[in-house]
Amino acid sequence: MSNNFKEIDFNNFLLSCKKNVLKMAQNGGCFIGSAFSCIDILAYLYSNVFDVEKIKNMEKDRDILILSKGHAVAGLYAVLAQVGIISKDRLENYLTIKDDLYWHPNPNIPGIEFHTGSMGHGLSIGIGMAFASKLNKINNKIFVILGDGELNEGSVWESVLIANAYKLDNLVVIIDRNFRQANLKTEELIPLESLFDKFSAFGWEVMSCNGHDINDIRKIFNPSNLFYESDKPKVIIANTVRGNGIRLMEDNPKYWFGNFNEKELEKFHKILDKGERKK
Amino acid sequence: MEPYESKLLSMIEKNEKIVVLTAENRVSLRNIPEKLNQNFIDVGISEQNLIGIGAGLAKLGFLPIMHGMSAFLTMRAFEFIRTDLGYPSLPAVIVGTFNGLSATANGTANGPTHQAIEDIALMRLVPNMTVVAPSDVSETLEILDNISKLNGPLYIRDSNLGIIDIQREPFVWGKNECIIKGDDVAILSYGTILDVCLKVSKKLSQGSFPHSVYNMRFLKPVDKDILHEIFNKFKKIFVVEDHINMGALGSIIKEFAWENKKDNEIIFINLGESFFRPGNFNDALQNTELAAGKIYGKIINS
Repeated sequence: MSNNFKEIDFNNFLLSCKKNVLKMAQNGGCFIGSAFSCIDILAYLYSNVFDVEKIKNMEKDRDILILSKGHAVAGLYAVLAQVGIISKDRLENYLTIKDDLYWHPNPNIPGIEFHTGSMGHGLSIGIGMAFASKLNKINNKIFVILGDGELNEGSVWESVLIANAYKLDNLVVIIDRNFRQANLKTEELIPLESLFDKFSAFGWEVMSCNGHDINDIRKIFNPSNLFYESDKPKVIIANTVRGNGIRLMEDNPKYWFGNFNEKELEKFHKILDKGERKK
Repeated sequence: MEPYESKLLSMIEKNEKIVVLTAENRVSLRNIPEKLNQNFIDVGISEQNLIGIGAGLAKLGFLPIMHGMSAFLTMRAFEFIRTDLGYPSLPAVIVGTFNGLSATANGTANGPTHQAIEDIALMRLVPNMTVVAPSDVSETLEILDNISKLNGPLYIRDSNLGIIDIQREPFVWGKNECIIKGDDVAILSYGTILDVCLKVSKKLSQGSFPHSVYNMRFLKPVDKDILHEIFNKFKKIFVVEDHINMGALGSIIKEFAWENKKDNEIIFINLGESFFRPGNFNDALQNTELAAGKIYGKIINS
């Protein structure tokens, strides 16, 4: 891991990423609510934690991130474009059949390891990659971002058991805890609380953070955080808000997905620029 | 130590990128976990994760050999196989046991929950998948000898850990073989039931009934060369398999015949559309259309 983007103004960086997402929220649209829920963390990881050059060159000891909640991929593509893993021009191809950018991540896009999108696959894949790193004696971390709704899938809990059984201390799961799943609030449909206690009981090292507070994010993902020293698999419960940053979208099931007209886009751009409210 | 186990051990000695995985199915792996150290991963009873974990390993350059019961691998983990191995065409080996009328460890005694009688149909549906059904352990070892060449996933329908004592053609990857050569009718089979067909063949030979027996182990991609040979040589073709009547060798033959406008007479002997009644191998077999006596009767009365 490196900190090659230390000097940049993170807020401006994040703003540019979010504007990239807005571009994808037209002519067919994207899951903008999900993207804005985890984009702060994605932006931070790729700008401050990951070694972008290694990812570009697909080096053996590259940092690995599996976006298991694949529908949030507009957020990831926006960040990949902002750090130069893919060109910004390529985002113009979004939803055209001449390229592979659509509602779920395609491994033809640099930085994408697997075609995720079907819930409950990414963590098992991440475990396989964590095993691979150990066999290769590579000291990297495998990051897997799960949606909280995704925790409904039984396969996730198989993975949670297995990671503990094999003490996969190089595995870091981030739960995008926005308390929303496709249609309903998680606690009203299939309650997940206490999530902290659940993972703790399964033998994981658990931390939580505010997934939209840069200081909190910085603290958590700092490689010298003692959290990473634990011999257990790690999970970060990132408390987030779906559609964060645009009040109309926040925690509003209507904006899980967004496909906007010119006028709406202009309005949302303005809101992003002036910052509707401080979180 | 069993030949299959020795084979895996010697392969890993030569290639440390091979990782043996199992979803707590150790029937064919009893003696090797301790010897494989970290190249052995038992994920417990979780077939979906077995495949997902294998996919993650394969993506980073390892060659996973994943073991489980065919029914649970091909059905419960089907979507993981299709999406995480098939779609990216990752080299990976799935070794399914207890399938069809599996003779291994009396695999017929389990009942419908454990019966894999549609596994070949399912695995043929997976993009980039190779499907092979060896008839005995010597053939399984030949298959393992070739896995470093894979450029996609492989499903091995591992059904019979015994050894069939018969002269075979040299093993060629992707090619099926003629085991008994004769005129008049061709008998096509694979896996456990090939051994049954060889018993039928002996009886036919005693009655001087000319016939050939083909081992159709490679089910995907289809070995079209041998099908052309069979369809050109034989007016009457018997397709014998321990699988439902959809999606496996019978379907391959029908598709081939239609595509090539063939009007050979084809007789299909299989499990129809139903589960078989569980019991000891011989009892279970006798209760199906795949009993040697019944196959024999169909051939001589045809």
